[in-house]
Amino acid sequence: MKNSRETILDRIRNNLPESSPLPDIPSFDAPEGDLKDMFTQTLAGVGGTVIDVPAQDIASHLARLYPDAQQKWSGLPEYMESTLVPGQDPHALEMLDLAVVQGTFGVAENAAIWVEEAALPHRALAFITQHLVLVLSKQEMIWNMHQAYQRLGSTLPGFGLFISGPSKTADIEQSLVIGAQGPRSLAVILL
Amino acid sequence: MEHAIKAKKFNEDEPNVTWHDETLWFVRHKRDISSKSIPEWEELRSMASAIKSNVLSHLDDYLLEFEKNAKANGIQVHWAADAEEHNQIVYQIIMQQNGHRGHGPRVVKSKSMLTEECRLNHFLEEKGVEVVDTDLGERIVQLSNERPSHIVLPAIHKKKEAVGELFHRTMGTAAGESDPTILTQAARQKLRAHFLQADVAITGVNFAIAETGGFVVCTNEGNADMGAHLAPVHIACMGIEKLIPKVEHLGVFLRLLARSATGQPITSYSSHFQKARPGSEMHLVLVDNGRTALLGKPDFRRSLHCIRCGACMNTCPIYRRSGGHSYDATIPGPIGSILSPNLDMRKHSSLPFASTLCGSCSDVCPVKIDIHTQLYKWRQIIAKEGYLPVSKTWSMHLTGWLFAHPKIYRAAGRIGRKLLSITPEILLRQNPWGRSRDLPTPPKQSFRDWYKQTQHHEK
Repeated sequence: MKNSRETILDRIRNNLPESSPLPDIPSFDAPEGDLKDMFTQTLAGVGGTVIDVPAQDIASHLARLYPDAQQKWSGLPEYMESTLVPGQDPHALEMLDLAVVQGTFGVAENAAIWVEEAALPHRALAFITQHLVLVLSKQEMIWNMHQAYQRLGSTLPGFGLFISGPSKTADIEQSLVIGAQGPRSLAVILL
Repeated sequence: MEHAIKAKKFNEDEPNVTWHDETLWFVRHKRDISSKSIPEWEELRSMASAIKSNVLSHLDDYLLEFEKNAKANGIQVHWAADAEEHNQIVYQIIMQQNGHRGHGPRVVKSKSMLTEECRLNHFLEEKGVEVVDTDLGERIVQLSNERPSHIVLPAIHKKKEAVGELFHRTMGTAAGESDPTILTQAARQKLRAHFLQADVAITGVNFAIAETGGFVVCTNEGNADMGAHLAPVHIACMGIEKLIPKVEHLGVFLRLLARSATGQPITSYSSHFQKARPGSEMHLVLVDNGRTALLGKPDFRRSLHCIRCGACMNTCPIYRRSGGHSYDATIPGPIGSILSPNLDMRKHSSLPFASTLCGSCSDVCPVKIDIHTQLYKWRQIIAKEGYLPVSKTWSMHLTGWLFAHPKIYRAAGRIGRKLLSITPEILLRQNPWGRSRDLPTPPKQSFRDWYKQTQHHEK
């Protein structure tokens, strides 16, 4: 008896449509204006906030914004000290209150920030933390998703993701609730 | 007819129908605003459609390319010819895990219409495996012993008071509490415990990329990731049509998906899985379950383009006023009405008729599926196969016969015009179409007589 792999491939080959070409994907130009402003405006629309303060003030600013955070992890010690040392097990991040993570680049059209696993001690950290702060360089801002994938190329990391705003749901009567299963807030530090 | 009967039941609660109708129309409106903010929207739709056509025309090659690259990434790839085999594969992987604290393996699952289609929860529960749906809407319908009524908004048929009552019973929230924020927070606390205890996390797949052997999962809640990055085993389940050739094609689809679904510029999380994290397993199940049969039907194969955004439901005047459950299918609404007859024509024979053929579904579809044309074509097939209800068959035969006999038709018209003036309105109420309509005033003469007379005068 043939295995299912062969069965499925045979069925496909018996039913295959006439060959159809792939389209070219242009990158579509950005509209007039400042990408950083567009990013900031879009981020507000998806429930996030931009922290736009001079580099030397970031540490004190974060301390003021999250006065109750006990368990903290930071990938950028110059802005916040970690109080939690992640071990081998991601479950140990259960009580994490606040995380500061380096983002690779930002996409202005949808306020999405690309984050790679290399910036995280565990993949789960970006989701299990109560509050998330992403750090992004203003120079690393592009317009749209086509440019994003041109930049990423065809070699992706083991895990990477676009984050656009905090965790949210509208599953009860279409009422927007921020903080579903993941972070309750997202702030972006633009440098 | 099956759909009409269930829709009638939904329509008994008139304020609820109005709410359902207006809420989904608002989502459609958000989609309009969002799509119009992209000048190249129509170009993107055409590109998305062309990419999907290309995928279908080389599906065997792309699947093999994907399998090779996924295996090189350390992902274990499984093939399932049908729903039963899919469920068995998932069950076998689950049973290889050791439970703990005297409990069998614990499973959390994020939204996946494929696992709904395969009735995976039901299958696993019969075998004694507990599955917890972690998307809030899915959790609500799971706790209510229902099925999703919408593919993006699974609990849209439920009012907050009903959710409050459900959570009071199952999660111990305060009696009478119906505030969405409080209810969502209660579910968050409960689901956290499930995530932290899970041995296996099941997710769906939005897009799988042949070029890299990886896949993308989109959520707003972050629930797919909470499951997949904590549990030692991740099982991702996908229909074979979810494949795309290259990474660059994600740019097209991610720009279209959330804007079409909810009007958001992108979902909160678009996670790109390529390799399992160290010390964990990643499985991927490729499922046919009728898709290759659909591929062999030239009139209907474009329905395999679907990226499950739900836009056709939000815009459909029938869906909005009949509710998802009236379709009695895994995928309701216009797209479900062309997918479901492929799986079981007899059971779903009424669905292609649950449409006005207005074409709004085809207009909003981000991958340009000719949905209303396919609905019309399914009607022809269903009539030929003899699945029309008797009343419709007889009336069609009678009308056909009448139209084929001009003299009898004219005589019937003369009699009809006389009878119409003395027909009581109550007779019209016997016909579903006539229930909310009045009888017209009969014209003095037929069009034919009027035309003859007018021609005569002009001469």
